[in-house]
Amino acid sequence: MKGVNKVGIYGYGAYVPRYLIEDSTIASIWGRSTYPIKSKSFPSYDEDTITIAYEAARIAIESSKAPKEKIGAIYIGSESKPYAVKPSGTVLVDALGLPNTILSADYEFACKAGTEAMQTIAGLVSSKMIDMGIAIGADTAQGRPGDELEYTAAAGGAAFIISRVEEGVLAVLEASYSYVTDTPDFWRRSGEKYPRHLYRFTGEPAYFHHIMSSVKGLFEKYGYTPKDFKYAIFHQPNAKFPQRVAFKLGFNRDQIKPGLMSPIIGNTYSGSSLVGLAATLDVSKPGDKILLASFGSGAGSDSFVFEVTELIKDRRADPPLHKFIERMVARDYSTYTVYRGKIWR
Amino acid sequence: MRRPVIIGWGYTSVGEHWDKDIIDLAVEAISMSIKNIDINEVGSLYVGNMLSKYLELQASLAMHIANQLNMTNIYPIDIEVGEASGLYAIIEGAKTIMSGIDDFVIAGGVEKASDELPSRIYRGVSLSEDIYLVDYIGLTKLSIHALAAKLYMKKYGVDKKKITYLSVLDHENASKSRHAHFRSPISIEKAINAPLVADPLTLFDIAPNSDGAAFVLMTYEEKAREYGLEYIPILGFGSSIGRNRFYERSDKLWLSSTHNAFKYALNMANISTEDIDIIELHDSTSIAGVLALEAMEFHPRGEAAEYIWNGSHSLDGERPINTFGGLKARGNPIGATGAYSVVEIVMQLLNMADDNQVNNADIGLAHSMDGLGNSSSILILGRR
Repeated sequence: MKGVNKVGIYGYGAYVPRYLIEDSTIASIWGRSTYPIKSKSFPSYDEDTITIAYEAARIAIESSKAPKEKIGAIYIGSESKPYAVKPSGTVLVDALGLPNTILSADYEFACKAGTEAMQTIAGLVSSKMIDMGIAIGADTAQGRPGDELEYTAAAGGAAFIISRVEEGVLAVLEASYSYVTDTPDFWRRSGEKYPRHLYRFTGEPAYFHHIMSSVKGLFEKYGYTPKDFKYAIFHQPNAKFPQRVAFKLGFNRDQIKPGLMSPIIGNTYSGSSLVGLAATLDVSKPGDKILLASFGSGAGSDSFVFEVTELIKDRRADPPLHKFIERMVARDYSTYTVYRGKIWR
Repeated sequence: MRRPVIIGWGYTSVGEHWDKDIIDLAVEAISMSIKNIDINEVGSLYVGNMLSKYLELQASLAMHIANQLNMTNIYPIDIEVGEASGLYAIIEGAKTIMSGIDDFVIAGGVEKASDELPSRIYRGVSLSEDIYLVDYIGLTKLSIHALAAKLYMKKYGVDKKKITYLSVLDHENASKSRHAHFRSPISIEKAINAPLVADPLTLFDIAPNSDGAAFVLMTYEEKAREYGLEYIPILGFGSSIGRNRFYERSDKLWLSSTHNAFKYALNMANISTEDIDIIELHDSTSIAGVLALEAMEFHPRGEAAEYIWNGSHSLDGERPINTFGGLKARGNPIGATGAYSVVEIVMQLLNMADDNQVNNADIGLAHSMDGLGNSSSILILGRR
């Protein structure tokens, strides 16, 4: 997809909570000898998707000095909204001091709700309905105790301010593409606390088929090849899948390295690929082309091509993502269960 | 009595067929097996399957498959003998040809394991065990194999890695096979150090639960000649059952059902053990394959693992086994797995095994069993 007017990223920010739990700690509780990643983040008892989204959006606005009065929409993609009914975006509007004449809604599309928000904001900005908008992907993902998901379901988020190119952008959005089918690989029904999944069905027919279809579609339609890209980010449900899909598509290890955050922070669901994009922008240089491909169970994938501009030098997120990761501290399973509300007094 | 022969064969690749249901898989394999005859000449369809009623909530598979294939005047028979269902279906087909009732029969097996949650599949494969053992004691199918492996190692002082080496051999053979589930070779170190599943068996000692369908088209020798078709004769078959409660067996490392089925099949084929050139073993676990080789007296007891380790059963060895990867690496579409063994023997005997071709194989044996020898069936094919 390409809009009528060129748009890009004006500013960005990312956030992960301070606490992490090592997968070996979780595995020792459940008597398992193997686990998919090294560690994952989890939120403190006073953090939720809204506070994480706020931190990411605040960093995006402050680092880029975006004019708040020009922001006409804020969409937050998440599958762990604190309220089932009550928008998260409205809290952000007032907490961030944005104009009240603004569009706001919460998006849900499993792990690709954040990039769905990005597609929508890009369309609104490109059509000149609004000048700028904020797309956020953030989650405090849930994993049933002992389930495979408990080893990866993490917390974090990233926010991207989208504007037209003439406002001055740090990365131009060259093209995007989406691919969606009815593939029920993972879901959480209303009222249920933890999601369910269909084990290996989440792999080949879900994650791989949709990302491959989305990226190949993008490449075919707009004539890109993996060699065109300095960096690539794929949705990160674990450490293995994003690497395998990258190699299948013809990307190499160096291209995905800066954005591969899941081995340390886990799968931040709606934040996952967007946190990877933020980490990649933290190290990219003018002229670098970046591919972003999300995946959401259910299922679908959005892919985007960005080219970094000179403005990256002035607009990098401050603090960058690695500052948050460096401050992370490991906690035990007991603290994790209390903070995640698995037990309560 | 008419001599049954195989004139056609068809199979799907073994693996995870997310885009096909159990009927699709069977129809694909059967369509491939039909050669030079009108499908309406087929009088009976025997479908081996273990778990469709449990995993798919689908009964009467043969009727549904025949419907898809527009086979109206047919006996649509489902055959269920646990994991050995596929081979038993083919034996039933052979009996029907021998009886003179049908001139053409299609028989084989189909299984679709990937549609269910792992916990349901694990429970499913133990359905053919005595429920009192499984649900009251927890003696599942796999735990019986694990106990046997422990006993074997203790009694004969065999190093675990020599038992597990059968899986390494399977993967090596599967690496050249186009229809195998796992086509990458593994090292013995990787197999030994894989996650423990049921002590002492690791992930690489245990066959997967796969999707797949394999069927053969059968007639009798004169008919095949009349039609000018290439064929492989069925020389003999046999079946026997063992004590179903593992702990009641006086000799827990002796698969009496495999031994007896083998003797009956040899007798019917009028050949001796030495005449067997290639073997497709039911190695649902590495220890099951080792014990089956000993039950058929190819080796003295306690020594089969050593022979596999030394290369006697490699593709270029004196008596190759599991030439396309066996249950461990070709994959284990549970109720279809015995039918794959037959198809693979046929391909070997017709020199159609491509990179897996064994030289100078005239007689091949397909072995299938349910559990650790609860029931066993043997089919001997060849030119004699």
